[in-house]
Amino acid sequence: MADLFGNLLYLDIKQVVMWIIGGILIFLAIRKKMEPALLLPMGFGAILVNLPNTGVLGENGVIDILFNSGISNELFPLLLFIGIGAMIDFGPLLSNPKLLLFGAAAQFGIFMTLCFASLLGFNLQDAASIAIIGAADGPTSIFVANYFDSNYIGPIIVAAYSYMALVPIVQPPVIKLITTKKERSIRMAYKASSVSKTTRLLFPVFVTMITGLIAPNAIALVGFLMFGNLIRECGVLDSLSETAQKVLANLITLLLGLTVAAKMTADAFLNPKTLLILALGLFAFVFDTVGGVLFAKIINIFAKEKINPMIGAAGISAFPMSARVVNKLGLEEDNQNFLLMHAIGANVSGQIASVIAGGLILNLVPLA
Amino acid sequence: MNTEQFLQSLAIMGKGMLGIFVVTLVIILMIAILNFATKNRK
Repeated sequence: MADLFGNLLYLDIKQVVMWIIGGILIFLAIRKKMEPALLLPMGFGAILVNLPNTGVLGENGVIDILFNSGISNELFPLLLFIGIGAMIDFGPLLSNPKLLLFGAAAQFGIFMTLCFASLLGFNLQDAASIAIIGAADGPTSIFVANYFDSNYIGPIIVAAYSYMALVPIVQPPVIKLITTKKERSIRMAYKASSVSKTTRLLFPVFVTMITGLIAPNAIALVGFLMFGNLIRECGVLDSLSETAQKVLANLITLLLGLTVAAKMTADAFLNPKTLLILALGLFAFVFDTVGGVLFAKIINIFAKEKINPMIGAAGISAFPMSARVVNKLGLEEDNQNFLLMHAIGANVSGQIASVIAGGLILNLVPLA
Repeated sequence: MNTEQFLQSLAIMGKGMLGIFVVTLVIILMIAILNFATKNRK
């Protein structure tokens, strides 16, 4: 009997707690449909790596092998970016490029969180890794946290993906708190304008060049995203585009979720700082929303044609949840106030801006 | 609380927000030029 059940003696209460956390992630993925493609593998992985003496971790452990071949060298998040780039239609942004400003403003939460986290005692590299939760972009969070070799990569990724799924719950109260009913009722005319094929083709190439010249550390992130978009727009690589959007993105997501669990061991995950990181992630999302909305309000001081300030809140990268939230809030105030197309444009802008913000963080924060 | 580190993070915030708006403005300008240059080819 000792041979059969001896391993139970090595079980630690902390590992049992991690099973429960893994179970919660699986529950949220299945029952609440919160980012199931990521949270389910992560939840299962959290259980897997917290079984005693299994050998999945360590030099020859399969999870560590996957981690070293896909995350510590930043390969998985970059490959995922090709798929994401192939999924994004930048049309709404290209037809109204001013919306990119909202994407920029809505990265405010990242930098506010960086300051706040360093005030709370995190070193600059960990503070930057935590702050990037506000990019509302999982692969960017993984890329940055891994670049700085953060000890908190597990909770950072859990927070990043959880809050992305919670955008419909997090954003509305913040938006309502800082806007008036009158502001939320502002209607915006939508002038549909077509974008030339040439613009669609040159956009990813030029954005890569501009970013590479101004923020060179962002080039891997932006370059892979834009490469994916170029495959989509070129019109001669439809099968590759489809593969990038579906097979590649699904395969990497599957491995990413499971592999991230390497950092979800009880010792690494169960400490008071995990709760603090979850709180800071929420702080980042709140201030992203505040930054976008306040920026729109500032523009309204000078603009003849008023902007509905809620559009600013759609500048975060969580696509398309944030745009839907803004459209829904607009309709709540006025059932003829359709903001979706503007919000989608701002939301797509947020996807570019969040990646650029991640690159700037890499440029500005020194390595330890 | 590490004051020196906090001040450093404030400087990063300033540079970061400035950087992101500079990159954004350059991209907006680039899109505007592309849209203008190709407006007859839609």
